[in-house]
Amino acid sequence: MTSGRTVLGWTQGHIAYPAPVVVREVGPLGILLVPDHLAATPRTRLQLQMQCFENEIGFIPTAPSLPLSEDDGLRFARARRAELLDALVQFDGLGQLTLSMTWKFPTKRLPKRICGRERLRKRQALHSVSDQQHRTALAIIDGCANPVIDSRTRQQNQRVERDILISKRCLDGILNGIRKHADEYDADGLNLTVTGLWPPFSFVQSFSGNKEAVL
Amino acid sequence: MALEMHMAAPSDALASSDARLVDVVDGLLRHGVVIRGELWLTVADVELVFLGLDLVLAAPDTVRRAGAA
Repeated sequence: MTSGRTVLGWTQGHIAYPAPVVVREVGPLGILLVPDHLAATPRTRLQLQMQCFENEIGFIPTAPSLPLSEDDGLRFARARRAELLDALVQFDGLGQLTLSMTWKFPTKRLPKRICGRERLRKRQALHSVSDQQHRTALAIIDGCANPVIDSRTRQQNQRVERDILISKRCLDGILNGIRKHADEYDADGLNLTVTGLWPPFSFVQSFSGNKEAVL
Repeated sequence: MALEMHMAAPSDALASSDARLVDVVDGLLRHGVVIRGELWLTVADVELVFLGLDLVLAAPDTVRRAGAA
């Protein structure tokens, strides 16, 4: 049996919530809830969480990709009250910027009539161009990440992403710093995308519960 | 040639179909509070099976609805 509401996160001590968000109080905590049909996809849940964040609600967000029912959110709030309250204090006034550096793998076509050794040498040269771009991307992104409270880096093929945890009050200064830093680079083929400010999704901890079953 | 740079507010990123912004949003969707569970099955103090569970702390019909969405 479910209540038909989805949890967006946990909060404390706020009065005005943007519709359709409602709050269920559990002691000192509040659970941010929306009707299931309005939060049916990860993207709609993220949009609703953004709505809360932009309304200056301090909250610990759930992962948008993993829907959490009201009953489960309630059980969690009761079981982990102290940890959630600590996290609310820890992340008060903070948000994250996401810096994404991308580049293209060089697509220079190799001639058809070419011996094996030469082909390998040319392919190696293309990889070394891509490696150089990777190093430049890391150097640029390292220079952008100041001053931050914490950061998380992810790397994939031809992409480096860094989430940086910052104070909301420092946003404009940090964005100006990133712009200035990016202007200093002569980096053909590299692309920097900065998005935010987001709720601190990448920094809220994973809560764990251990159980032992003895047979 | 200078580094190509774009800045996007969350609302723009969420509404955009630009592949770079879609990738950024996809990366965010996977983060946030994830409730994990760990289960050990033990016989006579010997740990036989370890199960690591990433959330699915949701009612079955909720999961089915999310899967269908």
